[in-house]
Amino acid sequence: MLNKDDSQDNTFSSFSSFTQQQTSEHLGSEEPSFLAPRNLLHEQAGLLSLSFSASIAQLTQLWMNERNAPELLFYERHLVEPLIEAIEVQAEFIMEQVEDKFASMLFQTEIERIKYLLKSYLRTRLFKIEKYPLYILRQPNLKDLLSSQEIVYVRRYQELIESHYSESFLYQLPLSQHKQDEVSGDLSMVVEPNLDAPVFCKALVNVGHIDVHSE
Amino acid sequence: MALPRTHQASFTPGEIEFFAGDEKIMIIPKVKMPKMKFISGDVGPFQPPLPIEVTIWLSLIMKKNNKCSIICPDWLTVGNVKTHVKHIRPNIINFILPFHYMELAQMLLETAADDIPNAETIRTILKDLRETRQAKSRMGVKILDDTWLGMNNLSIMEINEIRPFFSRAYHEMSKLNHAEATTREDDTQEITQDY
Repeated sequence: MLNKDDSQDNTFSSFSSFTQQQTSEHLGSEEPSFLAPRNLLHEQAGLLSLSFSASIAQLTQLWMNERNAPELLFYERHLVEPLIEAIEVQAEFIMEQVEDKFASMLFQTEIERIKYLLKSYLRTRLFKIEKYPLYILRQPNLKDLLSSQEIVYVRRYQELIESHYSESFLYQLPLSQHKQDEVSGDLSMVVEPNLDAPVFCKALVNVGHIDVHSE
Repeated sequence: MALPRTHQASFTPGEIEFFAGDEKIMIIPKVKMPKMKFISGDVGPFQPPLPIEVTIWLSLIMKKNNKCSIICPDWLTVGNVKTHVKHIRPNIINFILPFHYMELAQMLLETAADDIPNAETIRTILKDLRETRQAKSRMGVKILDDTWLGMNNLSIMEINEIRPFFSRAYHEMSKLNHAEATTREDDTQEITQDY
């Protein structure tokens, strides 16, 4: 069992470095890997089925982390995008090749499960983006934090909110009250996630007694 | 908005069942099926009556369609669960039950009750167990303070129940403690100034 896991990890890392190579060769920029030509994916189909159990386990863990963490975690595009491609390839495979109805139902169920996982992960991120748009836009590492679609979403959302506030009532107040991101003393109008919120951890190894101070 | 209210503070029980679905279990297939290439890996050819290890969600679907029988996992026996209940009453929470025991037991008892010996007895004992564990975790929560709280060997359902209460309580307690610390500082400063 141990050996099998190791080889899965190796295959996964070689697969992801391969896709990165391909995309940079073909497209010469940071385009997402699902734009890579289809025939390549079919050649890699054998490799795909080996490497995904690890990435699904990782994505499940990541989803748990994202739900429980107060702030937005980094977007793991190397997990999400290959899975999206795999779903598409698998769906085609089911339609064309599988004849047994029961087997095709099993395949469909698995696809639905993975889709649910992805959707829930993306929704959690959207929820956090909607909570703290201005704070996120001001982060220096925006491109690592969000996918390109999310960046468009957060910008648009922030514009909408600001224009909504100013058109609903701010225009009627004197000019000095128009700013929506004022900082006065200790308080900032920009909503920040509470980084001191408690999180449940699972100890993987027995680390003995730990002293935690209130700071 | 993006996440409904029920999903915001903690996981819903449905989602916890979803996690549990990825665990593995042994089944005896009733029909012969070739090797299937799933995205998450290959599921080997089904040759009745050879037992094979599959994921829980797969086994439950097959059971519902009457295509397999499920081999009861080791921990879901009357003897094992009874020992667990006995040990829990003195101040020890023993870890004989797996992390997902609640939802696994629920799903298995629901769908595969005929494959589990003494299903009814197990149900009642599990209910007992759940109440005892809840009482225990409530006692643990009473002694919570704002630095940390550790309880060993909680199952994920129990953690999930405590989580929203605990986050909120922790937050309030740290605010109170912080306020107390600042007033104490102010008091000491005033004293030195007067002096």
